[in-house]
Amino acid sequence: MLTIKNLHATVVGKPILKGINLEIGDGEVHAIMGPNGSGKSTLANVIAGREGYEVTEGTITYKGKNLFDLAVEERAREGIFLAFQYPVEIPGVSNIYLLKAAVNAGRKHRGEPDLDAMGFLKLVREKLKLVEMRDEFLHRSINEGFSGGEKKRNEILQMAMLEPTLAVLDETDSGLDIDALKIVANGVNSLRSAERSMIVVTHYQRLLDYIVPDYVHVLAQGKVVKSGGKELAHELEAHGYSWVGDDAKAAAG
Amino acid sequence: MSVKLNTESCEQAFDSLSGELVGVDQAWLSQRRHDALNRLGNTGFPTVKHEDWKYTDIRLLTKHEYVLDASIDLTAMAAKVESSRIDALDALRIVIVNGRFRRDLSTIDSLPEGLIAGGLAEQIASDPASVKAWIGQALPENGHGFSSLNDAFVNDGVYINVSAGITVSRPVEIVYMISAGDVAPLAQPRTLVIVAEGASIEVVERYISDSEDTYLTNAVSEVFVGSGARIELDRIQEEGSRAGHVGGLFVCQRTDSHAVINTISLDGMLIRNDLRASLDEPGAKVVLNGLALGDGRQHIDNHTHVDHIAEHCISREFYKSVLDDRSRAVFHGRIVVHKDAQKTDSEQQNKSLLLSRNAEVDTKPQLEIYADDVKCSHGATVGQLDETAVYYLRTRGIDEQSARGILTFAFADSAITDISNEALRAYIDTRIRDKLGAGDLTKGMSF
Ligand SMILES: Nc1ncnc2c1ncn2[C@@H]1O[C@H](COP(=O)(O)OP(=O)(O)OP(=O)(O)O)[C@@H](O)[C@H]1O
Ligand SMILES: [Mg+2]
Repeated sequence: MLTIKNLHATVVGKPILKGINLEIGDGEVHAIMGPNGSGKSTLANVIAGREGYEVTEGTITYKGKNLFDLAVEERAREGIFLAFQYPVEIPGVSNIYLLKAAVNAGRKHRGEPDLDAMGFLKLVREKLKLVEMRDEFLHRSINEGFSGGEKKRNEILQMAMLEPTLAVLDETDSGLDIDALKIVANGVNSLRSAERSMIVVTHYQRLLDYIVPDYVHVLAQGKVVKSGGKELAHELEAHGYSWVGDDAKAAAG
Repeated sequence: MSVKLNTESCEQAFDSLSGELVGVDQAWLSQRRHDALNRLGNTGFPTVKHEDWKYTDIRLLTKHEYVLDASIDLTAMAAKVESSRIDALDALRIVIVNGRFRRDLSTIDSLPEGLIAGGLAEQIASDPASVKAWIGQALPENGHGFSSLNDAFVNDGVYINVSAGITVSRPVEIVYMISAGDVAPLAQPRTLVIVAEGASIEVVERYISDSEDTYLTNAVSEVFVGSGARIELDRIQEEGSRAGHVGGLFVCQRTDSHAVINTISLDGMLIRNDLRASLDEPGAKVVLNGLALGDGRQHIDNHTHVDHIAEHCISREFYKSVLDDRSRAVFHGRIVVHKDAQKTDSEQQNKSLLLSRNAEVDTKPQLEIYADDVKCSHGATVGQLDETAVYYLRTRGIDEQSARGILTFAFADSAITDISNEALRAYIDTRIRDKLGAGDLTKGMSF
């Protein structure tokens, strides 16, 4: 699905990612953990194609294609979805409008006709239920005045509507109470399938109790310093980042 | 009869024309005109040396010679009046061409009971007292040269009077049109709207021209809102590409009255709006919304002035501008809370979105408070599109151009949400969308 080789990237001229290698197979869930500032969100944004995140070395191949050839929106239409660590508030643009525009942009890309009003409403109702959000949210401006937890659920709602092939969830669990965490995890799990891969960025083992990963990677100072199975997360929880190696130790201070 | 925008030329024009104006036999009216001409003689036309005209250089207007009685191409006008119709609006229509009321082009045959709506000149001729009681009452004493000019030549325009307790269910649409050509017309409509106690009306003022010729609209509207009365006035400026528009709108409000004024400036080379609301009696509420959508070299200047005279009044003011290319907007919002206006509740905001490096906005919110128990806030922001928001939309599959269109449209569109008439809002939405090139994706976006 996604192959990252020797990825180096700078943000405003400052090197952040320093040689990342990752192989994400079809249907796999990879957790990425690591100290604050280690480059997790940077990696997520490089995958999504954000401007200002300059790749200076290395490659990313997505479904056999050079990812860097695709603009942000093309990556999205090709099935890449980023759930933001800090979802953006957009006054004056309603949630339902964004959902419709986004779903139809994907359909158009695949040569499918726009979803009709009935079909769209049916789909959106179904997905709302999944993340336990009220209809009322559809007509509010995107994320405007949403609580932290509501914003995160809204990201999952969008993901559920768009049915991506590669979902990157950047700290979707932070700021969630225990019930919301279960709801979000539930939403994510319902989307797990043999054709859909996920990168789950988190600081907490707790999320990984609900979304059980196939692999866990530790990122420190822009490099993957350790990879392993789901047990790795438990060990991190018990021993902290300094346990995984000098790089991480240095990063953790 | 032609005139230039200087005192001598205006005085000459007055000497030869004043005898032909309506109601010359009415001494009070002649006196008004003479007084106004004297005021003009004293103040002259404003220059950039005036604090209130610092950012608006009227030399773009004064270099032309204007014609006060330009001839009208009636066939062309009839077609334009027809094509300007907003079908779903279902309004009573009053049509003004070059400042003169045209009954033949208007649609006011069957007016509901309690409503007078028609031409000002006809009203002066048939019932001068009904005009004398109101005209000029809303104008400030220290008005500028343009409003004095309108006053000196006051002749025709619109007269609307809603009797006490009457709710006019259909909107009254006033279409101010221009028939230009070889000469540059000067149109000086005067509009009086009187909403008596407990009455209610929606008035849509549309200044429309597709002309690419030079002309000047110098309009003055006066609005009187009686106790417990309500008015929504939507002023939509779609003037020609070389047109100047100086528009004064003066509103006086009595106890517990409610006025919503939406000023939407879309087209015109130079637009200067002076909007003044006077909350004369307790419990009055005024809402002022504005949208200035500039591109090319357009210049749109909004001067607003709210007087809180009485206690317990509310004012809400939200002005927005979206500026592209080399366009420029000015916002000067003055709120004066007079000494007896305790418990005043006032809020003012001006937000500007600059789409180009060469666009410019000058904003000056100004609060003067002479009472001690008041709640007032004001603020101004100027910025560009939120790039994080553009990125966010793109990560959802929306192309960059559409994402920018959506965000710009959303910014602009939020300025018109107080326009209650759906058909009118839809019309303005379309105009905003077209002007911004916001793309089809913004259709169906409005709340
Ligand atoms: N726009 C920017 N300008 C300057 N520095 C930046 C910018 N974006 C990211 N950085 C820097 O890059 C480094 C990595 O940031 P990143 O957001 O990827 O960390 P993270 O691993 O996601 O951290 P956290 O766990 O706190 O979310 C940080 O030192 C950060 O300050
Ligand atoms: Mg992060």
